[in-house]
Amino acid sequence: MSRPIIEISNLVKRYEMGDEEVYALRDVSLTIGTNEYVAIMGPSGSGKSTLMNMLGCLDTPSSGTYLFNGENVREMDDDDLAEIRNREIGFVFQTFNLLPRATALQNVELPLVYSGSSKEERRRRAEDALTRVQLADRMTHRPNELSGGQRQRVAIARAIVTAPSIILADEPTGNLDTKTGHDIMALFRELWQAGNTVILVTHEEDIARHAMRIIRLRDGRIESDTTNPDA
Amino acid sequence: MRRRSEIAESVRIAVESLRMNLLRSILTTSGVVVGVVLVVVMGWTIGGLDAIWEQTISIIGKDMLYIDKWSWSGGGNWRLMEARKDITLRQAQLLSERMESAESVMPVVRLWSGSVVRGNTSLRCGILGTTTEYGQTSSAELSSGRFFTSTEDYQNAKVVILGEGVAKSLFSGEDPIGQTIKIISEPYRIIGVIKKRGFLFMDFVDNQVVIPLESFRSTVGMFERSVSVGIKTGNEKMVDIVRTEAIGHMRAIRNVPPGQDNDFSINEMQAFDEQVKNIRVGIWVVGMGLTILAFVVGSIGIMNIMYVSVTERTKEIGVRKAIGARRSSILMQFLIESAMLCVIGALIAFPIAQLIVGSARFLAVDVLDQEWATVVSPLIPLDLLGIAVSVSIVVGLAAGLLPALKASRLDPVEALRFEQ
Repeated sequence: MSRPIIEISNLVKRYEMGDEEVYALRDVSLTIGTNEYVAIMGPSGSGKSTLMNMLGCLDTPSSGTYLFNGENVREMDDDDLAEIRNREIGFVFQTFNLLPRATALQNVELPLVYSGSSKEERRRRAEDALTRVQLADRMTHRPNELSGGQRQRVAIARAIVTAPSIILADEPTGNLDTKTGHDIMALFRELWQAGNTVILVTHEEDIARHAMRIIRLRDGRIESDTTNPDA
Repeated sequence: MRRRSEIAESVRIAVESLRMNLLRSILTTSGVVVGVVLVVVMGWTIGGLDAIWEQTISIIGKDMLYIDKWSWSGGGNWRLMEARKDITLRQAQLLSERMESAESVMPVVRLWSGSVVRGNTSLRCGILGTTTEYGQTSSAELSSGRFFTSTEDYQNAKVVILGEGVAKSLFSGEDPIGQTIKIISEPYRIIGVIKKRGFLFMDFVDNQVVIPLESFRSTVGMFERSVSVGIKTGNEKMVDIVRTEAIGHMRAIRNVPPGQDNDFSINEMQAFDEQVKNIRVGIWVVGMGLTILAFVVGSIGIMNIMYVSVTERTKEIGVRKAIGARRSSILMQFLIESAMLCVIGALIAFPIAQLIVGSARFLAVDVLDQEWATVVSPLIPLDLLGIAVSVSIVVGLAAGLLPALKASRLDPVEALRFEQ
């Protein structure tokens, strides 16, 4: 197996809801290596969003260990987490989450603003990223001047611009029509083939089928973890 | 490096956000606008007051003391002063002989309203009798001619020096030197004109004529007239020494028993200094009070709008955090926006303040024809602008702190889930 990026063991996420304790994740163990293409599936309430937040270092576990590239995420403070998200993780959201008043180029440059790249480097890398998602001719457009598919491409360009260790996509086709959704999935496949590690979170079988490995969650536990026979 | 790109980004976001909500931003800053206008106008007023006061002080001169029956400042017990014996010419002369620290001592007697006639034109004005030493004081700086000599005084010469107002009224443009006027029916030859000195509430100094003491005695008379003794110290630093010496001599001359209060008043510009200081403090206190009030109200408005801004942009904050914005980045972003709001307020305030200041001066100088107002600057002083901008930045940072902290502490998961 390739070098592990994500090593999770006995992960638990507990929320206090009034007097009650709610378990979003109970005892999840999981390893994901470089250049894997993984889909995390499950019905709503299965804990897949929580798991995605954990994987994306947006949230920290209640117990268990999460090693990201060998570093213990549970021991990180807010700024460490921000830095690891900035450097190592590229997020793609269902609703794109672009800044509405910024151009495509400015949106893609944003992670580099927080990592402190020079203006020239930001510009160059953002242009590269937009070119890779076939939006070289839309750089100065604002989100409201772009179609849904194009917006998601801008979001993907933003996710890959820092050359992160993983690309984490949460229902990336949820707001797109089938045809556009397929185009986006083709783009993810391309990125995977180019050596990226891609993790999809979805509840759609059609989408999950694009991945090489499918992890199914139910009630906060891993129900199955299989290699995708179709892929 | 990272900081610099983040600051640039913050400024870009702030400008954009303010531009998107232009009307809201401008309305929000109104408290700050009022505050800045107040600070600037107050500063200008105090500056103007100082300039006017400087001018006023120069009428009499900071190096002059006057010993009088009455106190100029109006302080003290009126009845007690009323009961004081008049200061006689003899006492003034004794003081003059005994004073050692002063440059010169001169008796001054006044008729507050006497008639002065040229041809068919008559005028009521002050008539002042004094000795030649008065010519050395700043009250008697001449615009033309000369002051009278001690010989002229001694010889009871009928010569007169006109105040600027009198010269204007009687001669309007003509050269009065060498001409003759009648003072209480006696003809006097004009030998000099005093520069315009009158100022604000000191207008009367221009509306008087100065004649030698001996001539005053013969023309006006000394009956029941308390003499004012002018003492020129020659040097501002000498004032304290001269005052102490004069009080000592004067008490001896007027036989004031030890332990009893002086039965005369020492008048000097310093007495007015105190009053001007009070006015200054008054303006400052009232102005500061209003300014603080305006800034407090203004900062509450800004805090409020910043909270709105944070809430509106919860999702954006979530996105920024997800892609790597640190707490401090978010904090800075909102602080810069809030400080910028206040700076915009200050920028709006400057032209308003300038308009107020400019119109006030225009009204005083050009419409009401108040010459004293010309010494007041028609422009807002630059240092005030600097202070106003700094104060508004501080107010902006203070007002934005809580909303910015709230934004920086948002949980990225919660924030990303937020829908408007």
